[in-house]
Formats: sequence, structure tokens, C-alpha cells
Amino acid sequence: MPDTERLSDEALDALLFLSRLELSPDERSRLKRQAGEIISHFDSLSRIDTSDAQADHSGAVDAGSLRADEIGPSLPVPAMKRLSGNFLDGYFAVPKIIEGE
Amino acid sequence: MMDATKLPVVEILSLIDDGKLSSEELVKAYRAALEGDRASAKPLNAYVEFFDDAGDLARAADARRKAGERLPLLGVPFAVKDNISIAGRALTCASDILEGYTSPYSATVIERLVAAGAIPVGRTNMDEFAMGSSCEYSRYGATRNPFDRDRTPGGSSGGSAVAVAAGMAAFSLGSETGGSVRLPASFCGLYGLKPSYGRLSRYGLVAFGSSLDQIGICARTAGDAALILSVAAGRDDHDETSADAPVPGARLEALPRGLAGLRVAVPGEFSGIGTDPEVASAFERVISLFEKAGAAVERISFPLLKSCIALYYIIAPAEASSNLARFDGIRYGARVDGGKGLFSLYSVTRDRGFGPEVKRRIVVGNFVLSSGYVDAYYKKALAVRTLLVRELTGLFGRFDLLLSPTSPTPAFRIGEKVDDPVAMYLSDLCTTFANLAGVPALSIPAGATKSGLPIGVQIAGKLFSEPLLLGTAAALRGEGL
Amino acid sequence: MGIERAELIVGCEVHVQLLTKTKAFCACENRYGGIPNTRVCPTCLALPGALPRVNRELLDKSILAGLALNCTVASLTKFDRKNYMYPDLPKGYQISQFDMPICEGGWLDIDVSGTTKRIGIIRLHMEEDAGKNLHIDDRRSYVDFNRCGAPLAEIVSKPDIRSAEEASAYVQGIREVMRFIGVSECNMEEGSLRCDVNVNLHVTEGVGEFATPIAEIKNLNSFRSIRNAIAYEERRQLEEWKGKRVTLQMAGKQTRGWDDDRGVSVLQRTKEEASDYRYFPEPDLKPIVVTSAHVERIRAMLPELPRVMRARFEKDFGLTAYDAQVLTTSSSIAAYFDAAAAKSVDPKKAANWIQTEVLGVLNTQGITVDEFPVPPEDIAKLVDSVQSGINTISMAKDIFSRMINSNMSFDALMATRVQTRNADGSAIAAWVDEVLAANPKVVEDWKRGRKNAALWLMGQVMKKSGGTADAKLANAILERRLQALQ
Ligand SMILES: [Mg+2]
Ligand SMILES: [Zn+2]
Repeated sequence: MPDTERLSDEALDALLFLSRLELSPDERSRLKRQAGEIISHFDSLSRIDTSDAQADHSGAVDAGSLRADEIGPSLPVPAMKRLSGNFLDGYFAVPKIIEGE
Repeated sequence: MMDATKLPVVEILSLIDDGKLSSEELVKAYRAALEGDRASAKPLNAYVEFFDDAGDLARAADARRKAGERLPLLGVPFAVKDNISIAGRALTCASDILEGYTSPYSATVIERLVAAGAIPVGRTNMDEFAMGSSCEYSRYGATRNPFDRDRTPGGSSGGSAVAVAAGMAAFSLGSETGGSVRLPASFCGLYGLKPSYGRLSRYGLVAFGSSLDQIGICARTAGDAALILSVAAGRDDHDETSADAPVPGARLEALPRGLAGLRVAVPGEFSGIGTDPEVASAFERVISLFEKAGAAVERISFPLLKSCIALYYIIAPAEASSNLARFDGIRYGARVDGGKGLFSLYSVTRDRGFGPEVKRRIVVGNFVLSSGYVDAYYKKALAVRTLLVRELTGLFGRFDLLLSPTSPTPAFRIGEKVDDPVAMYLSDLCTTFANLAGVPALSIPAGATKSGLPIGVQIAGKLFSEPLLLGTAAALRGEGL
Repeated sequence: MGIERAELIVGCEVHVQLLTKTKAFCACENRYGGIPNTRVCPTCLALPGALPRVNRELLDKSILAGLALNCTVASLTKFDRKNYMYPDLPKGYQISQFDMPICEGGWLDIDVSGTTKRIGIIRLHMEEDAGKNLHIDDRRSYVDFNRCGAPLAEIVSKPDIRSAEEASAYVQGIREVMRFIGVSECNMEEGSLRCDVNVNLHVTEGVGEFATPIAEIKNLNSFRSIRNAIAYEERRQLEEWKGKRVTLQMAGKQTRGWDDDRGVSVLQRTKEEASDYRYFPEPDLKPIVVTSAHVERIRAMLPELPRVMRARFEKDFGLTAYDAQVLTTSSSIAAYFDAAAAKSVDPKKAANWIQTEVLGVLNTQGITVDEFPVPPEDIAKLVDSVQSGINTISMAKDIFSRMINSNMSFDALMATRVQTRNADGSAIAAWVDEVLAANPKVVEDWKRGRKNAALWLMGQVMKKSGGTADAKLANAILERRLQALQ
């Protein structure tokens, strides 16, 4: 399959939505080609037999080792103001949210 | 006065101990080197910021020493990649999207080094969000290689490598996701350590591929790397993936030395794929050094290594697509609000804020995780990764070290691969396996090309075998490397 | 061909906010309300480089909740990232659980119109809450991250629910159990219990059976809205089926919002991709091994659950269903009654006393039963003293208020009274004779074998003495006089 067709326009639109990216037409077509090329290099993996490769969880930790439920410090409000110019009246202001957006 | 800017940490400390050098003088000399370079025709562009108060901090360290205080790194200036948080300092990851952000907290590794007396003197350039192998994808422009200013220093921790190589810091911290410390170290003639996954806390390191990321060390000697690692390593309650593993000795003398009896594997998969002839001959020289010193070198085949690039470029972008979702313009950093509602705030902020390579990886990452593709790509990659870990564990049962060039080529030209992502990705051919398997790997300077470009070789060992790697590197030096 | 049958199918997803001191993945305090954005840190604000750490109580309270719902606890569990971007979700993903939830396969019994029904529970998983978006003015929204990262247990039922009433009873049952075992306050107004319902119809027409598109109605925040939304949706889907005949296979699932004011559900336009959550294992957290010893330690903390307790109260203590219900509204009241009933000769009387007197005091003083100074054993003694005629009701009430105010025990108060007790046999005999003379009918009852009549007469004697008569002596004199009348 030619690399340009690895990603359909609809698929790319969906990915750009998930990525929260809006690209110029030029950038969009370049990205479509390059992403297609990159993806085509992944095909080699399909030839590897992984039927016997169940994830092992040898790195798992014991329940008893988890963080104790003790209150620690939070950030002071002035730190919030330094983070954002949109920290208004104690809140982070954003454009009006329309439910389901 | 002597030129102290190219001295290793261990020597700096003994000069300071003997009163022949002060921390303040050293910082002044680094700053002078930086300013001299800035005035040159093709500045290296290693630092994105050299802290104004670095001299003050050095003077304070000198005063503490005078007052009798003794700490393992008291007064040693170091450079920090611009993706590791330092409280009260800007942090950008070389990205427009973090414009104006100052971290309110320090990375655990920074806290430990500072507690040991070391002085962070500046932030170094990098590929945006550590995505790249050349230090070209940066809002601050490319960093140049001090050995040939038309070439890249390698990436993504290019600025950190150059700061040390060009005499602007005693050592530096970089970050590793697929070779980002080892590659620039090899291009700049330094030791580059990628510690075992979990050896160093990731708290405060801006996440790229969380299951692969580790803070790495650029140093002039293996002994320096050992000292810095011993100070920074160990379990951190802020990072559940940090390991409670014993820390290697701070003193190089304490590390295992000598090459006799070492079992060294040389996988055929890393040679013959466009390997530069000068790299190949430097590599053969290292093999013969090992053999001469009594190590058993065996050429082996390890086919899965060929899949590591594909594996890496699935897993790292998948995790990155999620890790970079927090850069949304809502709570910090740049916000571009076109006044067209929430989605537009997100998408315009991110379109302007991220460079092309970051966007490529976010899109590819979302692709390999999206419904309909997740099984064929992401889950398949996880399964192959499991096989890789299993087979590598087996290999390290039979061998002490895995030896390869760090990169098939010496430093490439600026602009050479910048528009060809796949070619750029192949720079990581020999390095990604260590991140995927979590094992430690060290790039060791191994001579230079006729035109003077440094060449690096890489040794990797089983999990938490840093003492062996560093001791081996020191022994190789003793054998004339 | 007409519709022969349209069966309503409902499944519930209930989010329960867990009562822990700190948030799920950071050490910020987990508390409702307060000044916005004051309980946030690098981790829950998703600052660059910050990492999560699992709160041990998130795990343990989730296990306790799962055990209370008869679930199996996983021996190995892990967290996953659920990716979607929204202003109240700072990381752009929610740490949740995908394929290895902490608990699976349980059930909850509910009572609807006199019969018991078992509702299956598919799973209970751990996750973190989002922040809160406030819509104060027309230009902007405002985000408060105090709630962001609060620990949640999400309980997913099987689609076993067949009516709006069952759904309401199910959610009430979940709330009762969660409150009873102390893992959550389940306060719907404060949002510590939230409910999403999945609703559709299975329509039978001739030989065919068709499923209508599932509507997921999110964030129902009262029992009334749960009932109304399901009832509305049942009607709406039936009408839509008659008109358009669109099946689940054709249209899939849709998300609807519930407009409580207008009493209608409204289709929410969401991009199809928006629900592609791209789950993958959370690389910042390791999988967790839960040993059976750990589970058993938690199981040992599981109290008797309210349904079981009510049945026992009715059977063993003869309580009415209503009384049993009142006495199991909280685990501490239930335990208080249980202890009193165990010591009392008449648990029903103890139940009455607790319901009217004890709960009354708790109410007026605004305290919990744990703060109430009178131990349940003393309530038993008090009630029994009335029963045996040692105290009249009004005397008992007096002792009760003195126990509360003086912090003295029942025995201590009785002992002080004994010191002022009238042990003058002739005076007592006179009171006895007066009582017998004034109550000939009761004396007749006693003669016919009603032993309780003697107790009642004894109470009258004590009353006459103003509580001062030595009860033992009085009882002996009364007994002697009655025997003489025999
Ligand atoms: Mg959920
Ligand atoms: Zn927090």
C-alpha cells in the first residue's frame, strides 16, 4: 500500500480531533504523508510470533507498600497566579463550555 | 591561572579541596566560555539560559566550604536539560507551548544533587519535548557540535552534551527515552549513561514515554558518572516506578575493574546496516582491546533487536500522545484563544505551541492507540516488548555485557535528516533496546574519525549493573581507549 | 403487526466518592467545598513532570465496598489511562481501570413492591474524579480543581433492572450499603454519589425481537430524577420505535442529558471519536498484588449489612419492618440498638426507647450516636427497670435525662436514690393498701392469673411514693397482700 494511503482523510481528521490539533492545509498533507511512512515501518512487527508473550506483572507491588493516607502540603494561591494569567477570582477561566463539546 | 573548564568533577573537587580553585572562579570561567562562544560566527547554542545568580550560588558554596562543610559535590556546577524541573526556574522543554512557565517545584534528582552541594547553573537546549535525535527541533534553534559546527551534537539532550564538551559545565543531566543521552554523548566525545529504569526518580522530569524515560548523565569520565549517579539514585516516594535498589559506590575504585573473564556479546544486527567504516574500525579496536585484556567476545545473533525501532516508535508516541495532553493552555503555559470556543482554544494553542515533530508523534501515538488499530500496533508492540525483555534477560544470563557502536555514524550534518523523520529515527538504531528493556547502557568515547568527529561505543548490561558498566569503562580507558 | 411487548432494560453506573483523608493519587486533602483551588498540588494540577502515587485507602475502601456487594476481589489489579481532553481533567486523561478492575461479579438484593430481587454487579473499579466546571456568567466557564483527583469507586450493574422504581431502589440500596460500611457519605447534593443510567427497550413484534438504541443518561443527581429520566426514556423510545423503527444495531448508543426542569432527556451531540478513550496501562503506576490475607483482613472489618440486620431484628427481636428500618439508618445506631437489645429482657421496648428518646436527643442536640454519653447497656437496664416496675415511665425519663446531663451511669443514679429510699415498712404498707383499694379490677385480673397485673400495681405503688419506696420491700409487701387476697 502506498504510504499516502495508509491514513485516509477521515482517519486523519479523527486523529487530529483526538490530538486537539488544527493544521494548515500544507502541514496537514505533509503530516499525512509522513505519518503514513512511519506507520508503514510498523508492519514488520506483525511477522513476530507473540502467541507466547503474555504480559508478566513481575514488577507488581504489594498493596501494603502503597502511599499512606496522610495529608501533605498543597500549593498556595499565589503559585496559581504565577502559573496562569487566566486565574481569575480563584478559578481558572476558560471559554464558555457547551455541554457535550 | 589554569583552564579549569575541561576538568572532570573528581579533579575539580580535589582542586577546590586544596584551595587551588573556587567554585566561583569555575562558574566565571564557564560563563566566559559561554559568552565567548555567543560572540562567535556559529554559536554552539548549548544553553537556553545560564542563570544570572549562578555566581552567587557558587560564592555561597565557597563560603559553606570555608565554614568547614563537606558534601560530596559541594560547589560543582552542572547543566540541566530544559525538561527537568528546578523550583523557581523557567521550564520550556524547548517548546513554545510552555512559554512563560516557571516550575514551582524541583525534580527529586535536582533536589538530591543540590542537597549534595552541586549547583545548577543553567538550562540546556534540546529537541522539543525530547523528541528528536539531533537537537534541531527546538524553539531556540539548533545546537551545534563543537567538533564541527555544521553538524548536530545529536539529540535530544544535545545542549547538555555540548555544555560539557565545550567547557561550560562540569557535568550535565539529560534525559533518555530511546538514546537521547548516549547519542549526543557519543557525538561529543563524552560518557553518556542511561541508568536502569527506576534507578533515578522521574519526578520532575517532563514525561515523554513514561515507561522508557530515565534521567541520564553526561560526564567527562566514568568516575564522574559513578559519583553523580550515587548521589542522585535511589527510591523516591514521589515516583512509584523508582527502584529500591542498592546504589553503586560513589568512588570508582570501589567498582568492579578489569576486563579479564568478562563475557561480551556483539550482536550482528547492529553492524552492517549503513555503518560508517571509521565507526566500524573504531568498534573493532574496542573489541580487540577487550580480547587482549582477556575478555571473551562472542558475535551473536539477536533478531529482535531489528524490531526495536518499530517498537520504540509505537510505544513512545503512544505514551507521548497521552503525556502531552496536559499541555492544553488551560492552567499554565501559552494560551491562544481565538474566541471561537473551547475546542478552538485547544487546537489553536496546540497547533501554535507544538513543533512539527511533536505533532507527528502525537498523531502517530493516537493512531496506534485508536480503536481499530490498537491491537495491530500498540498491543502487538507490548507483546513484542515482553519477548524482548525475556530474551534479553536470557542473554544477560550468558553474557555480562552487550557491546555495539552507540550510533552507526558519527555526527551528521545539521539539516540532513530534519525533514525525513524515518531517517532521523534510524539514528536510534543501536540504543532503543536498552530503554525498551529497562536495562542500563553507557556510551564510551572510542576515538574519532580522521576529520576529528568523536565516535562512541556502547555497553549494556542487566538491570542495575551500572557498577559493572562504569568499572568496565574505566578499565577500557586503562587499556588505552 | 403490533407491539406485543416492550420490556424496559436498565443498567446503572454509580460513582461513589470514597471517604479518605487524601486524594486518590496525591496527598492533597480530600474534602468537599471550601475555597476553590486551594487543595491542589503539582500532581492533581498536572504540572509538567509530576507523578501519581496510589492512596492505600483508595484500594482498601474499594475492596471493602466490593466485598459488601458480594464481589470477588482481584489478586492482581492495575490502573489504566482513559484519554479524553476536557478543562476539568488536567492531565488530559483519567487514571481509571480498564481490564483488571479491583472487584468483579457481585450482586445487591433490593425490595420492590414486597418482593426481593437480585441485581447483578459486573464490576467495581477505582478511578479519580474530575474538577468542577462552573458556569457563572455567559462569557466564560470557571474551573475549580479541588475535587480533581478525589477517589471514586465506579459500580457497574448488569442490565438487570426492569423499571424506574427498581433503578431507584437499586441506587438507594447501593447508597445504604456504602454509608453503612463507612466508605462514602453518598450525598447526592454534594455529588459524592452520582449515577448514569443506560436505558433501552426490547420490543417483541410477532416472531421478532428488537432492541432500541441504548440511551446513556449521565449525571442524574437525585432519586427523583433517576425515576423520571427512566420513565421518560421508556415512553420516548417506545414512541420513537413506533415511528422510526431504528434498532440498536443500526444506531448504536447515544448520550443524552437530563433536563430536570423540563422533565425531558436531550440528545447530546458528541463527536464519535470523542468516545475513543484509547485506554492503555498507566505506566506511572505499577500493578498491585492483593494477597488473600489482605482481603481477609478487610473482610473482617465488614459489618453485618443492613438488609441482613433488619431481617435479624425482625426475627429475633420481634421488631416491625418499619422499626427495623429506622434502627438501621446508620451502622452506629444499629450497633447501639443491637447492644441494648442483647442486654434487655424486652428488645422491642429497647427499640421504642431508642427510636423516641435516644434519636430525639441526637436530633435536638445535633450529635451522632457515637457522641451520645449513655451506653446501650444502660438503656437496657433503664427499659428493664420500667418493665419490672422499679421505675415508672416518668421516673425512667427523669433518670434518662440525668444520665445524659450528669454522665452518671444508671447503677450510680439508682444507688443514690436508694440512700434516700423510704424503708419504712408501715408507710409502704399504707401505699400498697391504697393502691389495691383504688384498683379492684386490676386485682381481679391478677386473681385470674395475669401476672403482669402485679407489675402494674407495683408501678402504682412506686408512683405513689414518688419513687422513694424501697422497691424490694414494696414488692415483698405487695406480694404478701395479694397472696392474702387469693
Ligand atoms: Mg468511570
Ligand atoms: Zn494534589
